[in-house]
Amino acid sequence: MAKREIEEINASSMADIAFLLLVFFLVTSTFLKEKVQDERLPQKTEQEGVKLKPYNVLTILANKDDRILVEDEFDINEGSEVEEIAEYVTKFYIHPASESENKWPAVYKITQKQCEDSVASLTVKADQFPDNQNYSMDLKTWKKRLAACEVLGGSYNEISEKAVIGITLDNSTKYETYIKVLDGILTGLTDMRNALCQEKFQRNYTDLDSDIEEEKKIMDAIEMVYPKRIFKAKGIASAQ
Amino acid sequence: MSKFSKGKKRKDPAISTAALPDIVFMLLFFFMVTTKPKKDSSFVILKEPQAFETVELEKNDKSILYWIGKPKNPALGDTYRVWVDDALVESQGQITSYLYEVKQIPEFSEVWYSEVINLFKVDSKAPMGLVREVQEELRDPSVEALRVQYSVKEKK
Repeated sequence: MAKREIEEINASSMADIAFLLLVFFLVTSTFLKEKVQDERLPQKTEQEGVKLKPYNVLTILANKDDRILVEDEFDINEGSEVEEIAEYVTKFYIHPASESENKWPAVYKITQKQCEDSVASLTVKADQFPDNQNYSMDLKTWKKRLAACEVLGGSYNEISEKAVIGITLDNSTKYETYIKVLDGILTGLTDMRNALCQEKFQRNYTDLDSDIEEEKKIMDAIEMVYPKRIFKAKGIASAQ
Repeated sequence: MSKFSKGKKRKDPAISTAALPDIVFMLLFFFMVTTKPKKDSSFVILKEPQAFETVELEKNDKSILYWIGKPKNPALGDTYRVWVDDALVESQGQITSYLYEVKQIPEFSEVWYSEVINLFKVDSKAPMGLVREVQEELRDPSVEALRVQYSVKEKK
């Protein structure tokens, strides 16, 4: 019996398989994106050493041994700094009215009617006194408030303009401690913003895209309710 | 019947594609072997801190890089040093004058306040006093480079 010749395996589809692999990895592989935290430095020309009412400031203090203290009395436990700071930040923005202006900053209810009236009267004033910067600045703020009212359905609560979160650091405080404090503040803010956005629009603030006009409006409105105002103080402030 | 004409038209032999997979695999392996994530700086020891709340760094070619950490080169000592765009900072005021130069470049000056980012890559254990010193130079009225970002590792 004659030996049958073994048939050669057709390898022409191997190239397709290899190409498929190549394309798959080309498409799915992404570069590791760098993660950052934002901060805006204050201008030098801005007034320094302004006196602030204690209830308008959430003081967060980190000493040279990297111990964190909130409001000069609450010691933050090591290991859960971010969560605890976030809690205080939330209290700073959302608290019962009875605690306003003695423990925490005042929160004002802004209504659309109020905004419209202010915009109208300030427009007249700004036209009358074009040299007075205050009128045009106020007008800008009230226009933003009006936009926020429109987006949020008529009215919203706004924290006092004077309210700030102050971070006081020692020169030898470690950088990682500062990042922890910053992280705590941002976590608190983001949680509140997400909650508000969920309540009004059934979605997360962090999912909004600032390139889409509609979503940018929502973002601006939410940032009016929970503004990010942080300032860094120089050195450890002496107690009175 | 001519001498050269062929009785039947002969078919062209098919080009063998047997070697094609080898070529593609070679390409695949080449890219697999040669691609690697961007390495950290070669001149500074850096361990970045971790954070929960982060934003993704946008693609941006108009950023100024600041490194703060201990130098890898033992000849430079064992204290925390500052590098700006890969150049070691030797004296006070050097950052301000460097930024002033950058600000004069048209592509940078147009978007100086909106798009130019000062990206800080700082070692976890670096003292804040040094970071603040650098930032004071950024705040100088002649440059006003105010948009700062801190590079962090994401904590899950």
